[in-house]
Amino acid sequence: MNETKKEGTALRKKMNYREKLMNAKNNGSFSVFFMMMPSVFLLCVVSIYPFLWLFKYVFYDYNGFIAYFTGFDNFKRVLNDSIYWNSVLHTFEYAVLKLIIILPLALVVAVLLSQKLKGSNFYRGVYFLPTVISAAVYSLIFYFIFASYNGVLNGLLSTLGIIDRPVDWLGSSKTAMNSIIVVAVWGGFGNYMILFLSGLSSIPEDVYESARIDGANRLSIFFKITLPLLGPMLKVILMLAITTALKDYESILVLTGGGPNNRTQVMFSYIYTLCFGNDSTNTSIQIGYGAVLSIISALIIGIITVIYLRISKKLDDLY
Amino acid sequence: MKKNKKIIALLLSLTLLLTLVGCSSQGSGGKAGQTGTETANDSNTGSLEKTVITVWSNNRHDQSYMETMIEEFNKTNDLGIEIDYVIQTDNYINMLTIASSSGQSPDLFAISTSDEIDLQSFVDSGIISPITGYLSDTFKTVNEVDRVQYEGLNTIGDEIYWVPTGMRSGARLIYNVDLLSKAGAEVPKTLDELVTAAADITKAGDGKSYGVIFPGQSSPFGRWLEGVAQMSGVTVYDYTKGEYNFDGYKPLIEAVRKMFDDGSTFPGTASMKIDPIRAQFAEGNVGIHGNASQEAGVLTEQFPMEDEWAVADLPTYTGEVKGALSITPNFGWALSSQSKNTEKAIDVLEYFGTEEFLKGYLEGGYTLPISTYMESKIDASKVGRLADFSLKDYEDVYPIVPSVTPEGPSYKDALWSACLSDGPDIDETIATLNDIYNEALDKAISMGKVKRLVIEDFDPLHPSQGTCTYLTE
Repeated sequence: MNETKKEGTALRKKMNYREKLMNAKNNGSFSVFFMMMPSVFLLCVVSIYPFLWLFKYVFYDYNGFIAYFTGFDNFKRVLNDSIYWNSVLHTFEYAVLKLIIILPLALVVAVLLSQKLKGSNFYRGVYFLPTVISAAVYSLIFYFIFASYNGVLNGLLSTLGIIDRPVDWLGSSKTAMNSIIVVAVWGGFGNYMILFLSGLSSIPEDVYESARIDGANRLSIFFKITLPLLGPMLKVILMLAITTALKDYESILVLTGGGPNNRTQVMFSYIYTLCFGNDSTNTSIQIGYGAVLSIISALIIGIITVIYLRISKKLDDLY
Repeated sequence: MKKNKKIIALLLSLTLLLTLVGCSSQGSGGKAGQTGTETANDSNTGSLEKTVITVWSNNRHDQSYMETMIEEFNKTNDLGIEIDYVIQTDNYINMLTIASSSGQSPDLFAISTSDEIDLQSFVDSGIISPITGYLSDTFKTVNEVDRVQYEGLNTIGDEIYWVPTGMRSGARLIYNVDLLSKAGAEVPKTLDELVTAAADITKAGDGKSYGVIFPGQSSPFGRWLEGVAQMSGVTVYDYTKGEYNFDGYKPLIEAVRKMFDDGSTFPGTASMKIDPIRAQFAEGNVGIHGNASQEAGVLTEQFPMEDEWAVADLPTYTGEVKGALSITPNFGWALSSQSKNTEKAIDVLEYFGTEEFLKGYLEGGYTLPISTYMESKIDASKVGRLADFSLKDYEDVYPIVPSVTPEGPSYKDALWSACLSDGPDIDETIATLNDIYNEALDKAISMGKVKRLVIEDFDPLHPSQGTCTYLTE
């Protein structure tokens, strides 16, 4: 009796399994599975595996050769590492200054270019061009522009009579961060401009037409129609901009190497220097400590992103 | 519609398949690449019996000489050896480590003190193998192997790991003769004279030329400032006590900061890399620059200088030489512990150390001779301006100090930051360095990572001649 019951359950299970297979085939689940496989595979190999590896080395003093177990020493060190905590502050300073310039600039340029004026396609291309150039390359160009001796910028300001002696744009702690931000804005605003343009193109023309018929001027159209309807897109752009700004470090490594006196050291330039070394400095390779800082920095960025997402929900409620 | 979906699914699957095949063939591509090299070499010689010895170097400046000599060797040797010479300049140490951990180490690799390779780590990691028992008497004579042994640098205990066949001189003061004479300045012999000379040159330059230049973004402190301290008897490590001590650097930091405060430094020097520095000096915009013997080639070939330039000893704190200036033994070859053809690899290493090979190399001005034997064999008139950097009687090799990982910036970075006008407090910087370096040393010793080096009979003028004692506490 029991055996018959078991057989029946097994058959049902078998049938169910077969049915599931058939269903999966009909639903296209296999295609989905195979299509997802390369991404999942790459994610595991190049992202999750190194991440697990990272967790191992946080307890070690490791310079790429031999790892010495140090327990929680790396964590204790973080608390007293003024260079790191200053680099966190520099990261925020850099991100805030970059964002308050780059986003309004990109938005204004996008709105102007969406007016279908003559030559707007040309300007679209020109403004977007920096995005396709490597950060290391354009940073090198700016290195020459900012050069104190015979630099383009100093030459221009000197000719105009604004300065009487060369300014050390990248070598002085007073000007280095601002110079870095100028480069970051130049290199990044084309990208946000394109994103804003695509957002603008999704706003129906008849909404503008009705507003114009109702007698709205350009300024009120921008604030009452364009900006609210851009809301969802703005939310995504802001999130991208915040996380990108917090992670930027390439141009900093090229332009100042984090100097002078760590004035332009941001979280990831410091971590990069600890993990891979840096031509500009003599810091010894400390992969274990770099791993701890990477995790803490990732947490900081994660927390900021979550806070932003919470706040941005209100953007949806507003409009 | 459904048919279309199927076609799309098929296409995507094909793409996936191609990607995977691409990845796998790329994976074997590395190996194929290697085999390809061997095959190419084999076809060049027309013999399949030759053993390929892979040699890595991170030197590009000697590429033409090395390739010519290797080509000749490959054609003429009757040892059945084919050298596959590969230049790896980027991340050389990382490349060696990665190659070793993946079992793809070259048989031989170039090694130099300037690479800042921690020999003990290389030995402990099984990257490098000792060559002590393999060297022939001729090689030992030509390269004075018994003399050029520096504990922790190329030897550990009784084992020799590599033999330097050349050296880079210690740093020298390199100056623009015209600018100094125009300013009425003498070549500085003391720190005070350096500060005054830099100010005078800047004043006479009238905004067009400046007193002194430092590569702020290319290890500025190690280039020549550290040499000034060494010659004044100041080193980072107190060899007699076996601890780090940075107290002696204060006068040097104060002098450099004064030059910054006076505006005697080249504008933007703090954010400049080494090549722009060289270019500015070669253009005649700077009076005083400092670097080691590589500058001979740079100022004659890379950035040929039109103005007259000369080389002088570095200044010292008081004008008196109280300590040795560190030289950098270089152009050596290390045997990989993974080499499957040890004896043939040693044959290649011996070839790179023959009198004939080294004569051409040294006369080509690629490095300075370290052995007196080779120094007597070369025609000094052929080495050009490199002769200005020849070995001084106050130059020597310092024993390698225990490698530690301080919880903070390296001393070179920290001391350089303190040199800048808006840098941190000098006394505070020195006190912090003393603390973090000695704490790191104690910790590294307790972990068994390093041993405390003590040289009771340490002579600052002859640092290599003391008796090294290694303590475990």
